[in-house]
Amino acid sequence: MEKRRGRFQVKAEATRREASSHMTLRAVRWWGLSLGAVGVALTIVFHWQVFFWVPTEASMGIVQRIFYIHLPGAWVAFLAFGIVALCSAVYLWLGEEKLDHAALAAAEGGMVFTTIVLVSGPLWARLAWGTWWTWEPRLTLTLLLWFIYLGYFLVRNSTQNRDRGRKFAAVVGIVGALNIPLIHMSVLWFRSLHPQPVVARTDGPQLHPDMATTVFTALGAWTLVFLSLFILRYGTARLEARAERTSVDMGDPLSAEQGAVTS
Amino acid sequence: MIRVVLMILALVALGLGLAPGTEALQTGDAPRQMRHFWHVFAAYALAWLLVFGWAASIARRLKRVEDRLDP
Amino acid sequence: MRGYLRQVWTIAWKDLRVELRTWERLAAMGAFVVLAAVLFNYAMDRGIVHPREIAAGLIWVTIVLAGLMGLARTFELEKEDGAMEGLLVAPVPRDALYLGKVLSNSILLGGVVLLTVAVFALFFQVALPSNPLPLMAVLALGTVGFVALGTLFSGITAGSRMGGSLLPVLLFPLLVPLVTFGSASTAHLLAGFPPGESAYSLRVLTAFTLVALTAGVVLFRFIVED
Repeated sequence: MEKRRGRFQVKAEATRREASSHMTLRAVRWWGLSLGAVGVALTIVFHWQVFFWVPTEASMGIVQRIFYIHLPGAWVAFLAFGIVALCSAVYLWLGEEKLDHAALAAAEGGMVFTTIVLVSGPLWARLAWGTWWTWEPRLTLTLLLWFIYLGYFLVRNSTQNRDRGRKFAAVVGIVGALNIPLIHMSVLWFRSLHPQPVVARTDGPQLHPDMATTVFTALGAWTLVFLSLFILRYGTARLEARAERTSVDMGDPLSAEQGAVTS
Repeated sequence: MIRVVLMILALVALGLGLAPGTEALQTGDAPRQMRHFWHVFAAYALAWLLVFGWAASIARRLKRVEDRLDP
Repeated sequence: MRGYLRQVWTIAWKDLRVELRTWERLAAMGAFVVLAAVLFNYAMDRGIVHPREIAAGLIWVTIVLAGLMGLARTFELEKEDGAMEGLLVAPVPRDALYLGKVLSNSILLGGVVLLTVAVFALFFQVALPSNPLPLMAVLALGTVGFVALGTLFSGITAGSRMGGSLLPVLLFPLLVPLVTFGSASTAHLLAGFPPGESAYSLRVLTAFTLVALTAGVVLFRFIVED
């Protein structure tokens, strides 16, 4: 390890700042991979639980097993959005590029996990309640969250000046997060006004203890998998930024061209 | 990529083969039960496809940027 | 404080004066509202549903779409002849600039909102409540909240390559509370329910408007700074 760092310092004639960022990147890789290993292990455990161990829910049947990816997926999607909003706010405040990279990494993960929720929800609802789509408050909220993430990415990539796109995206992330509680109030209130098919609640005190164990394993597994990929994506974004800087310094024609486009 | 697809297929096949061993449905009729299995595995397979897709995209980016930094 | 308010008003008055010279935005939005109501009339089979029954929802959708059209122009106009640069070097804080824009847009959209309600009353025999104050409060809060959010986001879309086509994608998910509570309370008031029943909706609309205004005041400088 010492040797690698030494080689790097000599090779890039790095400043101390570069070296310390290299250290951070090594930490990033270590944490990303080890969290990922634990996450994958937990994932295997929870798949075993879901398919071979946990009892079948009596009223909804086998399809209720979708719940074990649906709920943790939703939790991760909202966690990711929290990270996006937090990092965006501090990014605007301090102007540190790395915070924007963290927000971007979390937003990508959020997009993945909201999509999981939106796909698994209808697959479950069709058999449990006989309809592909219900205006179930949390499902509706996830749909809107998906579109907020979409706006985040569209805005980010729609400017000529890349820094501007980042700031725009940060504003979208923050305003979206501020509005989430109000949107949640609306979808809950709307539902209370309009009678819906009775939704059998699977969460709540009557949850079978084995089911609760499975849900918690799944929550842990998905959270770790997300955190691992989030950290690795963040590290990749840092490396990309560094590659851009070094090639601009060396007058790389490719990036000079890019610089003209993105100026 | 082909390995990932095979792994998912294997998971699906494994589940289809083994999962009926868990407690039977109260309704019991076979086509309905098959539909349940189908939905569960579609949901799990899609979830894993998405997560693997994200991981693969990160790996591709990482490889590209490392080639660029350290040719 | 008074100096700050004067700055806000100066910006707003500048925009209003531009509008008063051409009337182009008001004319476009006004025509949109009337023509949308005409289309609604032909889009509905009166044997199944009478437009009056869903008037509140239609009014809000019309307001949102008309407002979207007007808001997209807010900063487009400033992009011509480098007017935006001129505004930015003016000795005015960024938040005053934002509030001035919100004020002028609210006044313009407020006029369009009144026209919308009048058109629906005329075309679809929507009975206006005898005490118009609660309805006015709902409409005013909705207008300001919508404009507060829309002005911030139209600043973003004006600086992006996609322009106005991006605005609905950014804005619509966040407008859910506004449309939910705005049209619910409007429906209740038009149906003659006592205003007390809309108190909750009014509270949420107030919260929405305040959150949008605060976010705009704090964040606006990040989207115009370069």
